Amino acid sequence: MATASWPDLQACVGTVNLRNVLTELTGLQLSCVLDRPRVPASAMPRVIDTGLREAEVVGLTTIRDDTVTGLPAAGETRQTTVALSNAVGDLAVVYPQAIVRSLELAVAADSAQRVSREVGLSGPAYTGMVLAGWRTVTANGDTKAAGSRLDRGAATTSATVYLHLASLSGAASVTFALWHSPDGTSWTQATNTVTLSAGSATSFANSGTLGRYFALSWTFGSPTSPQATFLAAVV
Amino acid sequence: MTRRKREGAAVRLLAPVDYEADGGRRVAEAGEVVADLPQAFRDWLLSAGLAEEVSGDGDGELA
Repeated sequence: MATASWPDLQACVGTVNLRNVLTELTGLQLSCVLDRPRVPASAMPRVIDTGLREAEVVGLTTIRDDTVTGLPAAGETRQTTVALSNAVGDLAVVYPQAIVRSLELAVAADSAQRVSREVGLSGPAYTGMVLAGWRTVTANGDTKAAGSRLDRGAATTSATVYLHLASLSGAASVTFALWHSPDGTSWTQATNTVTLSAGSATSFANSGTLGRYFALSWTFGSPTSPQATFLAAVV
Repeated sequence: MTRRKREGAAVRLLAPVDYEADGGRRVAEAGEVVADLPQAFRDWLLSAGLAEEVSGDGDGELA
C-alpha cells in the first residue's frame, strides 16, 4: 500500500497521476477531511475518468463512481475505496460542493514497492477542472477572460457544474450560468442555469455540444450592495 | 447594417451568445436573428445546433 498526502487542498478537484504505474492496481482508497459541515451526500468523493490521459497511455477501464452517503461533520474524515481494473492514466478525485482540508490517497496493487515509487499527486490542484476558484464578488461578472476561463482541451457533450455558494448578501438571489466557447473569444450560454437565494451547495448539468472553453457567469437579482462568495468546479 | 441575410449569413440564435462584433463586444439573446457573427463562430453554432439558418424573408429582424 502506497500513500501520498496532499495537504492544504483548497480546490474541490484534484488529480491523481497514475500515468507511470507499471503494475496492475487493485484498489484506490481515498481519505479526505472536510472543512465544512452539512455537506450534502452528493458532495462526497467520487472518482471519475477524466479522459485526460496522455496519448501513450491506454488501458484505463472500469472506474466506478463511489459515493459515500450521509452528512459529514466539520473535520470528519471519510474514506471510500474504489475498485480499479488495471488502471493507468489520470483520475480526477472530485469533491464537488465540499471543501477539503486534506486528502490522502492509497493505492493497492500487486506490487506495493513499485507503486510507492510511481504514484503521485499532480500539483496543488488540477486547474483544468476548477471553473471558478474561491472568490468574493460584488458585481455581476464572469470568467471568460484569458487567465480565468477554463480550457478543457476539446469540445465535450456534457458538463455538470458543482457550485458552492458560501454566502450571499445585498441581493435577493444570484444566478449562475455556464458559458462555453470554441475559441475563447465567442461565447454561448449553456441552457441550464441555477439561481440561489442563500448560501448552499448545488449542481446543474448541461448537455449537447459544448465548446472546449468554459466560463462561469454570475448575475445578482435585485442587488443593493451585493456580495457573494462562491466556488465552482466542472465535471 | 449589412444585408448579409440575403447572403445566407444571418442565423437565428437558439442560445444567448457573447461575441466580438464590428462595433465591439455584443451580447445577443436566444431568438434573435443576427448577421454579424464571426464566420467561424457562426459555423460552429450551426454545427452544434445552437443556431439555425434563416431562410426567406420576414423571418425576423436583423441585428
